[in-house]
Amino acid sequence: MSEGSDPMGEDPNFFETIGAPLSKFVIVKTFGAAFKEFFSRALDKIERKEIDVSSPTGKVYNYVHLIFFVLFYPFLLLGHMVSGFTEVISTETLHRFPKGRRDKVLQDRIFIVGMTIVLVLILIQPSDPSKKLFVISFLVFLICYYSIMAMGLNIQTGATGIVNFGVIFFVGIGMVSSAVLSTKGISLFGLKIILDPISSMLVGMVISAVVGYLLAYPGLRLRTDYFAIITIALGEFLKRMLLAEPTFQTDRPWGSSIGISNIPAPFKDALDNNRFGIEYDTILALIAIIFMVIVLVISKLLLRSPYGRVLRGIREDEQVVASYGYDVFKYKASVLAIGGAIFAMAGSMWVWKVSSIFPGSIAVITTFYVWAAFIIGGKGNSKGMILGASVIAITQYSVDNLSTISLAERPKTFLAVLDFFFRIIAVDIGGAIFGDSTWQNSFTSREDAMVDTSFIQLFIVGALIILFLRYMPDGILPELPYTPKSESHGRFEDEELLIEKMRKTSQVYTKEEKT
Amino acid sequence: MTEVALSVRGLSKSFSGLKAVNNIHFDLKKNEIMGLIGPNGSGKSTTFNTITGIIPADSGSVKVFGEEVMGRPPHEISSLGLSRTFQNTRLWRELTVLENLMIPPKNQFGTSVLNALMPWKYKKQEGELIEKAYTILKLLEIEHMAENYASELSGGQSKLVDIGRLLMSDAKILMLDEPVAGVAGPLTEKIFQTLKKLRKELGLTILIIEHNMDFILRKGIDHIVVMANGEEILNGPPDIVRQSLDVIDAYLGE
Ligand SMILES: Nc1ncnc2c1ncn2[C@@H]1O[C@H](COP(=O)(O)OP(=O)(O)OP(=O)(O)O)[C@@H](O)[C@H]1O
Ligand SMILES: [Mg+2]
Repeated sequence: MSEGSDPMGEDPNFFETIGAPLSKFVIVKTFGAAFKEFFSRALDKIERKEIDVSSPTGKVYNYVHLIFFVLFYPFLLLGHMVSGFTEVISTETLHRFPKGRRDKVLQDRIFIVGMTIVLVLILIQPSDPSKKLFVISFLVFLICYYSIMAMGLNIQTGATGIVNFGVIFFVGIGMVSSAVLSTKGISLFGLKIILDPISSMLVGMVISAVVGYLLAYPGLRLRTDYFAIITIALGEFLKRMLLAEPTFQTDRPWGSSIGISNIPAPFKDALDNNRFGIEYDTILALIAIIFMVIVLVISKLLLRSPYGRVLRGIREDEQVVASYGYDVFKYKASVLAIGGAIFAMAGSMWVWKVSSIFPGSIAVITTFYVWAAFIIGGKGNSKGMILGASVIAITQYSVDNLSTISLAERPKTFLAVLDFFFRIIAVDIGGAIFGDSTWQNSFTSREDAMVDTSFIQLFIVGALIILFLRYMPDGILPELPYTPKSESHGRFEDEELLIEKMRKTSQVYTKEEKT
Repeated sequence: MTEVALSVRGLSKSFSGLKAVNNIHFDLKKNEIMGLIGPNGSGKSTTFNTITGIIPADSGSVKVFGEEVMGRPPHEISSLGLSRTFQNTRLWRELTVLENLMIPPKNQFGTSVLNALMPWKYKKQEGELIEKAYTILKLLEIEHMAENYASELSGGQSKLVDIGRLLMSDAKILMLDEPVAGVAGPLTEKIFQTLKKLRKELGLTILIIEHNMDFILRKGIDHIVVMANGEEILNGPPDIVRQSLDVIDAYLGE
């Protein structure tokens, strides 16, 4: 804030005087360093001929860099993003945007900056150069996958207040429908029906929507918390069912559950005569982006409309909504159906990605990650879901990556430190308190021990949830308030006009009722 | 104007032995303003709750424009053209004041899932409703709070928004549970004037709960029902009720 223009008329505090310039400095430095590092690395690799520029992968690799620098570097130089980012974290924000992060302009900026950071993080993931495109595709896919699920959850929990801990149940319905319909098919009236991947997905979405709608009947008569408990059980229920399902077992009589493999995916065949050197993962990433945009548009339209308004009313006080003539049950059931369809879409995408499914695919932990994305992104905000999903996907991938990248690139010291801490916390102290190991054999050094990344993921995501709930309970992008202006703002004075208006609207309605 | 808008017969409700509402009868004629008065805990709010289906009644009959509504869910009863406020102002707290006013209007095109995906279908109606909402906010002198969250309002402002919601609902019967408790004097007057005017111009029927008897007797109301301990003790025009109340007071005073 410049001198004398402080609208609050308060003494400028520490953050106001030093916070903004400091944060600007830090951001510019970090950005600059990241880019320099990345830029020089790419050039290095091409110079050292680690990447064969003439090879198809090399070309794509090159183009991606080119596009990235041509499109985004100028933006950065223009300072738009830097200033946007500073606004996010400095206290100037409070004065320029009195509504804080509930301001549309500011949210757009946060979103652009956030997505840029996400992009940078995607591109600087350490990997074998030949696998660069694969890594990018995988991360993009993962982000879209989580975004779609988070947006589904956002309609159910964020807008309507139906607490659903059974995301994976609906995702599982999508997985199973897609897998079965596009490989083994089903028999209907003696006809064997095998569908193409996209149709299988659509059928899966319809099945999931119907299941969601029907679930409303036993479920929504219960109190919110009991409904939530039911949904927790659903995922496990589906998994157990699949374990006993003959379709999922080998032909041998003692056949264990092996699931279904070689599941087809859309446009995969078209790549058979691969002339462009593009892997299927890239195509799938593009498909995922398209699906995500579709879900984003639909969820935004729904939540911004009078329908979405009624949903938010239900979240706040459903009895009052009912006493204004809305059938709350029908609205909630419709929301369960819409969410179910969206979750099933994500399930089909996952099946295309891994091209196999087995009971273990119904991983209850997915629900937890989707909830984390939902909380971090900002409940009630569709765009926020993409940011939240990105945080989760990148955390997940980066941590996984630590144990899968080639030994030479593995940051040994970093891993050793991680390992040390987690051993002490989880194994030694935890083991001594809760397990049967004694204090004597705890705290012994195990140099050979390799860190298990899955609990680091859980640890980080759990910590993020706690931090967000504590310090930013609205998430990165909170729900936007509804603030359309009146056209005749300030021109009307008395109740004459009101009466006229009321007469007019009630006429409109009676006319409407007749037709 | 003899058509009956709301007819209540033998309405009873008890809470684990406590007879909160005991055999209430009254007729609310169309275009009439009726007051429901009585001391604290006399069963006024419970009467409202049972009429509107929020709490199921034990016995009795309630007819809205001649249609029996006992045992039907609140949204169906409301769809017959009846809206109410709650005594402990229940606004949708994390919604803006404007949004609070935009949910009640009936027959909005955009409240169905399919139409919600086609903004052009409801855009015109939405514009009209916004205009109406601002007019009502202006009338209630809280226009400047339109963009604030309902949770940011003071107690009195909340009451006003609640009345605004009711006016937006296009209902033919308005039921207000202590609408002006906590609202400043001159504004109270204005609200009553507006209600009376709307009643006249639009043919509304209004039922108001108020437990300050002197206050409501001065407001020029057509008809008054007095409750005490769940019983209906008086039912008639204000003058007669006032005289009878004096008699009761005198009687009790002895
Ligand atoms: N949900 C409930 N459960 C149990 N008892 C209730 C319930 N609602 C109301 N009562 C009881 O019913 C009686 C009537 O309550 P009610 O709210 O109808 O009174 P009221 O006339 O509206 O009073 P006030 O003027 O204070 O608002 C009270 O004794 C109250 O304790
Ligand atoms: Mg009461």
